[in-house]
Amino acid sequence: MGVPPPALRALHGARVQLPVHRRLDGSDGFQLLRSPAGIAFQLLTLAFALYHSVTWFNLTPKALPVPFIAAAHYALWAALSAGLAYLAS
Amino acid sequence: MMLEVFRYNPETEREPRFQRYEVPFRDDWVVLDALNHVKEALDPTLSYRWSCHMAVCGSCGMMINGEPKLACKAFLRDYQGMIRVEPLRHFPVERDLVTVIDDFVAKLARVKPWLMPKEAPGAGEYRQTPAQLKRYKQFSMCINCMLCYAACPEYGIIPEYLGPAAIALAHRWNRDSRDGGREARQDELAAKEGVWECTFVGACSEVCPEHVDPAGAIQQVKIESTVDWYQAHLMPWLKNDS
Repeated sequence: MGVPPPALRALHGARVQLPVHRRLDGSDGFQLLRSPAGIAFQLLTLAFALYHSVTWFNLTPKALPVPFIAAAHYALWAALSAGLAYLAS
Repeated sequence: MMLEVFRYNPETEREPRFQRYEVPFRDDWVVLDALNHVKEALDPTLSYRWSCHMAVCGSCGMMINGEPKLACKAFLRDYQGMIRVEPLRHFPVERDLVTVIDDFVAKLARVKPWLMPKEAPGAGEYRQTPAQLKRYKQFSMCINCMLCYAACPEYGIIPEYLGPAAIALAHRWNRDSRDGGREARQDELAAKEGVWECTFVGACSEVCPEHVDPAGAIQQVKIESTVDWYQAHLMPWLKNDS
């Protein structure tokens, strides 16, 4: 069924919780994430997270055999993403 | 064609071993035919279960090249080289290819897979529309072959897990319009070792020879269990009707 390795998913979760406090030298906890390795890591975990989301949503008709249930999930995903993008801009 | 067959007699041997048999290749033979040839012509001591030879009884489930299959449905022509035949995974071995299936039988009984009528039939019979039949028909096709238990990694790690077939069969009865036993089956299904051990790997549905889709059944029971729980706690005066 193609589930990404649990370790990668855990890492993806971890990157959301990195400390944000500002240090005396002006740097913050995101220094590591801004490095080339950090960006590559984020892209990789994002790819796995997206793959999991798509395969997971595609399976929802199995759990709830209701018309357009998978489409409803995608629509909600799009709406939430749009809302977050607006808030972040 | 060469078969490599798991052999184990706990009464006389300390450890299992593999034994090779050369069997004729026939285009229309299945692995069960090859095993029958071994038993009749080469080695009468080989033990295995089989019955209908047409994929309806569920007796001949075994691991064929590492995959749970019905021996009567695995054609020799679909394999190359040596075919490895082992007892169904996740069950203790009684002898050779015969497994101890008590755990599954006990779990099946626990989900009460029989009609618990909501009401007596009017005028001598129950009436059911094609739409009502469609709601549960697929899940009624289970032949109790236990290939799904062999495929399920959760059952392999957590032997207490109720398992795909038992849950699918409980769901079959819950969805039957004549049945009123949903509440009676709830404790078993909603338990931690019930549906909640399932992580939707889906291997059970992949190996099912009757296309029952136990994975789908389990997820549907998860939703129903959750609804029942909230309803029981928030609106206990409502009687649940499937």
